Amino acid sequence: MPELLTVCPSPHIKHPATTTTVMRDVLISLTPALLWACYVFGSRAITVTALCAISCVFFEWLTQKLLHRPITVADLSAAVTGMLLGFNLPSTAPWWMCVAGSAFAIVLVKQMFGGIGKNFMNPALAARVFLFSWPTQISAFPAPFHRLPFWQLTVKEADAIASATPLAQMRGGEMDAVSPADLFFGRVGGCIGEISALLLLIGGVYLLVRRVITWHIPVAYLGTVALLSCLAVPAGMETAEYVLMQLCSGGLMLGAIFMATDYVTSPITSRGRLLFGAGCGVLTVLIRRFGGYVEGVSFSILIMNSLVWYIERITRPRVFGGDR
Amino acid sequence: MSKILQSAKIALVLTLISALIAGVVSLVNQLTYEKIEENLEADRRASITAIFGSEQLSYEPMSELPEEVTGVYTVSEGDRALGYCVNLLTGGFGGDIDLMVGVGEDGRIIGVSIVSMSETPGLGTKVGAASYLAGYIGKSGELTLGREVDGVSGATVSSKAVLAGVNTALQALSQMNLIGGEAE
Amino acid sequence: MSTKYSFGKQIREGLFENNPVLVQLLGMCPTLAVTTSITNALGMGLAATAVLICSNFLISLLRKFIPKQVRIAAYIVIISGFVTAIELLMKAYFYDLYGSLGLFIPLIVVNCIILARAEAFASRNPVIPSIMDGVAMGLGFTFALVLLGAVRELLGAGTLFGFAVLGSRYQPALLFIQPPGAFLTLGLLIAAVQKIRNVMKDKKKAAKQNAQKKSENAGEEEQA
Repeated sequence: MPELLTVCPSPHIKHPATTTTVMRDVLISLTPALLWACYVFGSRAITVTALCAISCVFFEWLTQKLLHRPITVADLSAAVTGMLLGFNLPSTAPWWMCVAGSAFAIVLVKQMFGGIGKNFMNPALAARVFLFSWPTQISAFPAPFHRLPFWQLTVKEADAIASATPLAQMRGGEMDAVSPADLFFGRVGGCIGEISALLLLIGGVYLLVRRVITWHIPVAYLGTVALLSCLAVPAGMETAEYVLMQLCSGGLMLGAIFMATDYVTSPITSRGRLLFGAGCGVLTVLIRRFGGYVEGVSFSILIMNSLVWYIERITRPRVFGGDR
Repeated sequence: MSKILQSAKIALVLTLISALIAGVVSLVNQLTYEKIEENLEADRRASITAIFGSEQLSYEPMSELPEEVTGVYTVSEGDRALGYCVNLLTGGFGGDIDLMVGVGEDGRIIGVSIVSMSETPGLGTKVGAASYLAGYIGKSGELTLGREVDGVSGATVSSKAVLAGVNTALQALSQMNLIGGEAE
Repeated sequence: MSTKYSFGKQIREGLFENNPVLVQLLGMCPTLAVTTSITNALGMGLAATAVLICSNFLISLLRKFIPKQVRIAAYIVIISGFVTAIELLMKAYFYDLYGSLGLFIPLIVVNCIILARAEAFASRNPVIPSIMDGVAMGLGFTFALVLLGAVRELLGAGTLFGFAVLGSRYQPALLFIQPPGAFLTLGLLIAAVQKIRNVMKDKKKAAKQNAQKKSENAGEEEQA
């Protein structure tokens, strides 16, 4: 007699998306920004990014091997971490910094807490903050179109001419140094992956369309920064121009679209995500204006990462039929 | 009644213990007092000597100081007056920076030295380098970062702290009418 | 209350099995704050040890005399007195070290290890074991601090006791001598110590079981 009913436990709705497909989509969405970086900073941008990605995958494999855990490097999550870490470094970053940052991200921040899905901080961002250990190297931003060839593992001092990033120039009161258009298209100095707001937005739209991320965090984050910037427009500047410059400079786009939306380290409810994004925005504006560093995106996201447990608690949906 | 007695006993015991400890501390204090004063004096002497670059100098602490400074000394070599030395604390990145500023009678800075600081090692501590502090020598009046003196790149807060300290020292001296006011 | 005291056992407890920092997690403030170099760690550790020995001695001596209701107050008075004395002595004879430890010397007063040992050990045990306990726990504290200081100084400055050991090509990772480095290193050290303790425990268990089996086997054979 044929079976009439199939009985099985939930979940009953299946979706083809797996960790691997999600991570692949993220890698695809980051590619335009990488190509642009290659055009602005020279092919060494690819060397740095690739070095980080390869090191991350290697360290993931190594820790899992040593700890007798299942090897999951094929899910591409380590590659994404590496690519994002590379995006957060200047194109002059020496090779050992890429390796040290990757080791920190994967071994300490990710695997020590139990591997994928269990880390409470974004590994790439935590590694970036760790790399502030070498303040000179991590802030050696080359001027735009000062292209470095890919075969240089360490950059000679003469080539690593540090130029002030737009944010540093704005902090120093030089408001005319860059135009909003330069910032939007990415003809400025900075970290490898953060310069072109336009290409990062395109990547973000791709992720939205593929339903890899939802709109809540980026919109709340960018919206809060825009709103708060309106309150502090310096004299002699158009509000719109200033807000646009704040939105497009530094690592804000990269952070809001690709780092703050990390599944593992952001809240799961829509309300929680809005709150999370807004918190990041407030902290970013405060750090940019009053902090010791000119950029505060990494710190803001990391601080909010560590508050996610609390956001989850206060935004927990009401049980159907339960008490308010 | 017994309750009162007990309270009295507790109070008495605590008093006795405190007295015993106070005795120990005062004994140690007596034993070490001179040595500590010597150490502090040697420290002060070393920084003043470093600033004025002379071994045979003498200095006298002055009284009635402005609030912002912890000490002002008149420095002389034999009969010849060399200038003044101001000791003060200025808020840095990692806590207070203990600063010594030597100023000539003409109001020009003779030298700046850092007695102690807790700035970020390898970064903020660069402001303590002799080569950096030499940038202050010969300057006078209200100083601004980037104009009269440069900051250490990456250590803006520490540089600003030293600068603020030096400015305070100059102000204090002109307040005490030891040097002329700033040229307007 | 046991009446037998073994100095060896106390030392082993203090240094490893019941290390005040790495196992009991006491005295975190000085542990994290002053371990930027081995010299600082050693200075802090020895200063705290000296206070611990003196306070354990005096509190044990007075343990029948101090009324229960005000014992904490009495301990704090005794501890702070010794801390002040140690501070003065350091200022007089180890002036450089005093300069780098500065504020953290007076803070020994509120170091939980010292109050914890006063309350848990010295107030219930005779004088000699209490002094030994002070030595053992103090050494354990110093050991943990020096370990932490060594790792942090080596990675964060490339030196040990102020001597360059990693060569000029090593770029020191500043983070390790900054506060986050203290937390990171301490966390990893605690993890390492826990791992070693677990392995040792397992081994002991295995050895016991083996011994038991053997004796059982021997018994069976005899019966056979």
